[in-house]
Amino acid sequence: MRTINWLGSTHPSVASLMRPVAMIGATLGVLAVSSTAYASGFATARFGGEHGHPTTDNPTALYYNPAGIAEDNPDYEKKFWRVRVMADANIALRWASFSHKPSEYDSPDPEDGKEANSGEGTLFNVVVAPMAAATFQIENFGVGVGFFVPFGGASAWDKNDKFTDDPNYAGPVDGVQRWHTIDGTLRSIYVTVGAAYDILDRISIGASVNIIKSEVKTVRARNASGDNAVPTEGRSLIDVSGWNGSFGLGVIGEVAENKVWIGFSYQAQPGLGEMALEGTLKNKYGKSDATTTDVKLLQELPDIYRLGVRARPVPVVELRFFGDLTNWSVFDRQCIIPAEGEDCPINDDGSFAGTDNVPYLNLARNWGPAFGLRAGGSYWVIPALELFLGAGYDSNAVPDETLEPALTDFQKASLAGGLRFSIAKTFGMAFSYTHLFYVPRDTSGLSKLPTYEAPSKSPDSGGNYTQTIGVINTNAEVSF
Amino acid sequence: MRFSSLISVTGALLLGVVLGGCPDPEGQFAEFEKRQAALGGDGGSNTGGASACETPAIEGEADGIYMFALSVIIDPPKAFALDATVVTHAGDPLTLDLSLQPLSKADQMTNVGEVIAFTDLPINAGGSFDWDLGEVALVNAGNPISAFDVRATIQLHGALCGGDALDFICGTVTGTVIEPAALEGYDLEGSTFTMQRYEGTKPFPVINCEKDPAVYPAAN
Repeated sequence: MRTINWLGSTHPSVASLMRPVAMIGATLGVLAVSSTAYASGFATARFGGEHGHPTTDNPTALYYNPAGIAEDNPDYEKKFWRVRVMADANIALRWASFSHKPSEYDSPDPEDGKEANSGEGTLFNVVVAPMAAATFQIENFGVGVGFFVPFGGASAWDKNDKFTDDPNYAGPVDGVQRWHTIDGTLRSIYVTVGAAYDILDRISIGASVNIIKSEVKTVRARNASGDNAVPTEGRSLIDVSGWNGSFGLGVIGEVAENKVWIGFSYQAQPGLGEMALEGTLKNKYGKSDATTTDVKLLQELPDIYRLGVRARPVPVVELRFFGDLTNWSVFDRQCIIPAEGEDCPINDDGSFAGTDNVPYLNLARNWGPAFGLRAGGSYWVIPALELFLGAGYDSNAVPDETLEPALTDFQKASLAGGLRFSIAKTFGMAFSYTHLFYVPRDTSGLSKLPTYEAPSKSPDSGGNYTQTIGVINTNAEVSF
Repeated sequence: MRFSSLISVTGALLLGVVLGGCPDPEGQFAEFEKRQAALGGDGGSNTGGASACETPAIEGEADGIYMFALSVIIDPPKAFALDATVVTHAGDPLTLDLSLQPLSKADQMTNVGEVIAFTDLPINAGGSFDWDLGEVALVNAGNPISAFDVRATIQLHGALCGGDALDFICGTVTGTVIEPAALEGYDLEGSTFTMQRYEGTKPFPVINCEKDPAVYPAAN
């Protein structure tokens, strides 16, 4: 467990303030085995299932649109105060593959290690992303606290059985994708507090503050030269983490009383810009002994705009249409620099543009903005039983040039169906299944990673990428 | 199973889920080290194949200008190219002075950086040598592997045989990288060097005793 390190020795005052939050994070974090991309990039905000959106009034509103925590649920009777507590889990079953053919940029396979760098790598992972939140309403004022994992990716790739117990080479057994990832986790865990006010029961405005724990822990095959020569193959393990803050803002207008709601929200970038995650980089190059170095990882995660409409033309039917715009264009690189460094200037050719604190590795990303659209609806068979459906599309944030197995993205469509039952309007429980269909990608010959100069150079990541994910969502809500 | 993995699985089981494929980067790193250690750490790299000779070189015989290629195990085909000037001195043992002028990584022809000079490098009676060059700094402009200045401790191991053998000298390189920091401590064992004597046009660098040619990016 690295929980103690979460407290951050470099900022003791912040650490002491964050101790209660860290304990919550640690407790829930062990459940956050992480998740994989259900939206664009490695965004994973699907908590709440079909009821997680920018016009929702349940506790997931803390993340999707904090204005929602002051909204009244039209199914609930009016009362002076109300508490709503919700727990949610997304259980994702992910299948993925990466196939690579030998390219002009690959180092030749050794005679006694043919297909060490070509062929297919596969994975099947089951991952869990939990959420928990509670809100408290007094008249038109609402406050809340919650725990979310809106960004995350984890993968553990299958072994290449052809190289099990290979007498010549220690590396290829980890699969053809090993030059980009073997095992890894990348996630940002949010602990959020928010407040909102419903003005005259028609317009709610809300704001939230997020305390974010971000982590990157991944191992990949690596040569000092950035190529994929098998005889000199080594390993590179990065383990970094850090605390950041951010905020959310939102507004919901009840444009027709108990019938139509329009919501808009904004979630700021974690850290409000560049994040510096601190930790260690452990390298083992060639026959050298492994070395461990204190490093920082510099990266930016996106801000997100959300817009949605919810309508109840009749009391037993609800229709929802919503979307998001996620600014992944800020995720242009992940740069690993010495711990004493502050920045990572990089030239267009991938070379270092500075003089001091030369980066150990720069992973070029150059992602672009992405959007998602979703439509859905609910039908109450009886007041205690709701059936719901949803369908959506999410665009791709990762260009062909920098797509690699560690962080993939695709154009994708999803279909969801589920039910929610409630008892006396105080307890509700929902189950749903969403299947995400990813359009396969072939980036053979398009990867720019091997053309960059050090420290940005990496092996050719061109190839065929496939993925499919099934997500089981279950949540329970208590209201009193 | 590590404690953190146990906790993760336990947490998932509380949710009624059996996890498959839990990431364990540290465990994967350790498994690689174990597998590599089981291979004896060689990893398949080759050596220069230097050996002592029947007729060692004598004073003046090895004097001349050479294309010196330093093939580093990090990226063997992209050999550092340097112009080497050799002057031998009689004595017991025979010694020589070696001056190395780094050449551009772009064309392996143009001088870049300062001359690096070594004096009184000894040659054993049988012709073999083990020269400890100490810390050697090579400028970025002469580094075909990356865009950084490089500093490393370097030892050359080979043989200086007389006659026609002096037209081509080769051997192995040991040492440790000091800079860039990203490669600090990198063991250079498995690296090789060659020296091709020439007059007039510089020969193209070759990287080992088998005379495999160096390979540079097409843009170069």
